[in-house]
Order: sequence, then C-alpha cells, then structure tokens
Amino acid sequence: MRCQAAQELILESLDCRLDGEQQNSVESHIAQCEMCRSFREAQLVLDGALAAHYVAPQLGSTFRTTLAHRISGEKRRALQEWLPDLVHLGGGIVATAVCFLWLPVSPTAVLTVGIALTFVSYVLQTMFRFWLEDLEGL
Amino acid sequence: MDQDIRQLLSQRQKDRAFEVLLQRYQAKVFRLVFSMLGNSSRAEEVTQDAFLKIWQALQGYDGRASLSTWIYTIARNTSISHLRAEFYRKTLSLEEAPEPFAEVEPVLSRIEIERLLANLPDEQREVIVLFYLQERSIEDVAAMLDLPEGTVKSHLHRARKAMATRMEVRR
Repeated sequence: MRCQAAQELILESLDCRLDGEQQNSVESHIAQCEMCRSFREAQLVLDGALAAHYVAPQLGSTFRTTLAHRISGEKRRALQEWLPDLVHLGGGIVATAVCFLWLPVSPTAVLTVGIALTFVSYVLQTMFRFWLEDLEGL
Repeated sequence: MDQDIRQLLSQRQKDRAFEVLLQRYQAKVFRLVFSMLGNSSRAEEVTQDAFLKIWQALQGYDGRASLSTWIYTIARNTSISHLRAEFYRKTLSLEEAPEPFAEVEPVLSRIEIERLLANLPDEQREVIVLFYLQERSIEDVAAMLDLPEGTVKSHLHRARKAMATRMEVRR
C-alpha cells in the first residue's frame, strides 16, 4: 500500500469505521512507515481536540413551550385577520336567509340580490380597510 | 426518511406533521444555527424564529426539495438575516461576544484550535464545525449545506490535512 492511499484510509477512519481488510492494510502499512504513523497520531490528536472543542449545547427546557406559545399567538393573529371577512360572510348569509323566509318575493330574486349585496358590500368593506391601513401607515 | 411527515401533510394534519418534524429536527437545527451564531441563547431564539417560519410555510411545502434541505435552508436564511441585522445594529458588546466552546484538554488549546480553523477556507471551516457539532454525521452536514456527501468528505479530509500540517509546523 502506498502512503497516499494509507493516509486517505486514516482520514476515512475518522469519518466512519473501516472494514476489516482496510483496517488490516492500514495497520500493516503503519507498522513499517514512520511518516504515516506520525500522520495518524497527529490526526487522532486533532480529532480528539476538535471533538472536545465542539460540544453542542442543549436546547433550553422551555424551548418547546415558548414555541408552542408563539404558534398559538400566530394562530390567533391569523384568525383575527380573517374574522371581519367571516363575520361579513356570515351576516350576508343570515340576511339572505331571513329575506328568503319572510319577504313575499320570488326566491331566485332574493338569492340573486342577497349574493350581489354581499359581494358589493364585501368589496366596499375591503376598500375601506385598505384605506384605514394606508392612513395608519402615513 | 420523512415520508411520515409528507403523509401527514397530504392528509392536511399540519399540527401533527409539525410535531413530528420538530421532534426530529429541533436539535439538528439548533446546532446548525449555533454553528453560525456561536452563542447558545441567541441560537435558541433564532431556532424559534426558524421553526415559526417553518410552521407558517409547512402547508405550502411542495416537496420539490427534500424536507430536510427545505428545513435547513429556512434555518440558514433565518440565521443569515439575524447576523445581518446584528451587523447593522451594533458591533458586539463584550457580554454578547461569541461563547467559548467547551474547554479542551491541554494537548491542543482552544486558542490553538481557533487559530488552526481561522486558516482554513470558509467552506472547509464550516464543514469541520458542523461535522463535530452534528455528532459526526456526514449525511446531516451534507443535507445542511446542500452538498453531496462526497464533497463534504473531501472538504473534511483537506481541512484535516491542512490543520495537521500547521500543527507540525508549530511544533
């Protein structure tokens, strides 16, 4: 075995286990080669020092609960953003249903007017909200 | 590997999928962020931010990249944004200076290791730091840096050779 191949295997052995054959060929090469022996010693010292140097810290015990709390906050915020739309849609459906039951007009006309009014008022409401947001941004 | 998470997502069980994902990746993401920030309390905050972004984007995950690559990309981008914000805000105060890593046996002092690492090209240093922080998993390092495993190994080997040569020169 040549020195270059032996040194590659020495480096490889620090990343993962070598198979028996590779291990034996490295050992027999090292037994005869002073340069590769000191190469391995230096690599082992370096590896040990790096492993001791880079000990990963652990996450704090409150990590999960804090994250869960933040996610709940995000869910609430998302719901708050959608709430006016949901209330609007619900109101439109209820108003159309009431008119459908009580007004002496054809059901098709009630349904058409109900959908149209819900849509138009939704557009107006959205425009109003954008206008308010613009005012806040100024 | 993340087939279970993908399956939960396809069943629109976002919260359950996130729970599994968090269990599987929280430590790895934390170590990745720590390797970039060098301070554990800031790393924990940024890890929280990264997982919040992951939670917000999870339903839209389209499966084009592997889930781990997608997660690590979000974590890395969040860390980079944090570093940029820090850079513009202020220079580091003493109190917030990078935390020393673990104390080392006298064979090679902490300062010596830092000096050896400082002489490496950025990509080799990044691979070395992550390799040891991620408990020697080449697969994880490759996923985190979005590099082939062979490239990670090659960076590792080059870095080790260079560091050992410098050690010899100093002795």
